[in-house]
Amino acid sequence: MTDYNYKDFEMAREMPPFDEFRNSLFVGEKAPDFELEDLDTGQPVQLSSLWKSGPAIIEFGSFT
Amino acid sequence: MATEAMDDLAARLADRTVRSAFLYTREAHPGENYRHHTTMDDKRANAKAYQAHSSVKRPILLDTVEGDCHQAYGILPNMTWIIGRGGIIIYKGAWTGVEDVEDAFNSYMEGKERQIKDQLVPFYSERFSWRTRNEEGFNAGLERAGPQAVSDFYLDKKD
Repeated sequence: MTDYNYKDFEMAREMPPFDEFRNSLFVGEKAPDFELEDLDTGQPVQLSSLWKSGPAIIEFGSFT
Repeated sequence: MATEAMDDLAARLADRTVRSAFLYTREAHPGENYRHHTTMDDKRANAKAYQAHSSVKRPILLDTVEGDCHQAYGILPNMTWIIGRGGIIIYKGAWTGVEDVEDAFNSYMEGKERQIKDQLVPFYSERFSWRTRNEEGFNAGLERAGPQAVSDFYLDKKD
């Protein structure tokens, strides 16, 4: 298991100068697709299914 | 997070064939009550607790435990992205500011509607944006996560 799921929040590690965000993907590029799980049904869902018929607005987050 | 406001936005845009979703990532501020995930069951449990607490109406989609999607999209804790029909990235927000998201969406859709008639062509730009800071809500969230979440954030901030 990598340290993606950290046990302890560290400001310097968790809030870097946004480099990964800035350099990950750009407006105008194709959005990458991933298989996710629908919380309500437990079924797999392709992220790309959200934008198949129209635009999609995707908020990332967690309870904490 | 602006959960209710984003739900309201999703409801307003639903009749324009816009799909909205909440993509569940790692815990940004894990604590004794809501721990970091080591399994998908951990993630499901925390996501269900979030769904019950926040009454979020949008579908919640779970990333893998390793955060494959979250990492590809830039790994920040509360981003919002708008993807156009067919999969082109229209907007990427480092945080979620509902007004900014709605403004970006409306600007894009207006351009699409006028594109042929007014001979519009898209171009890339970046701009500074604002969001409302809800310190009370944020602190309540840390306390809800547990004492460790509070101390991790405030002791770390002091350093």
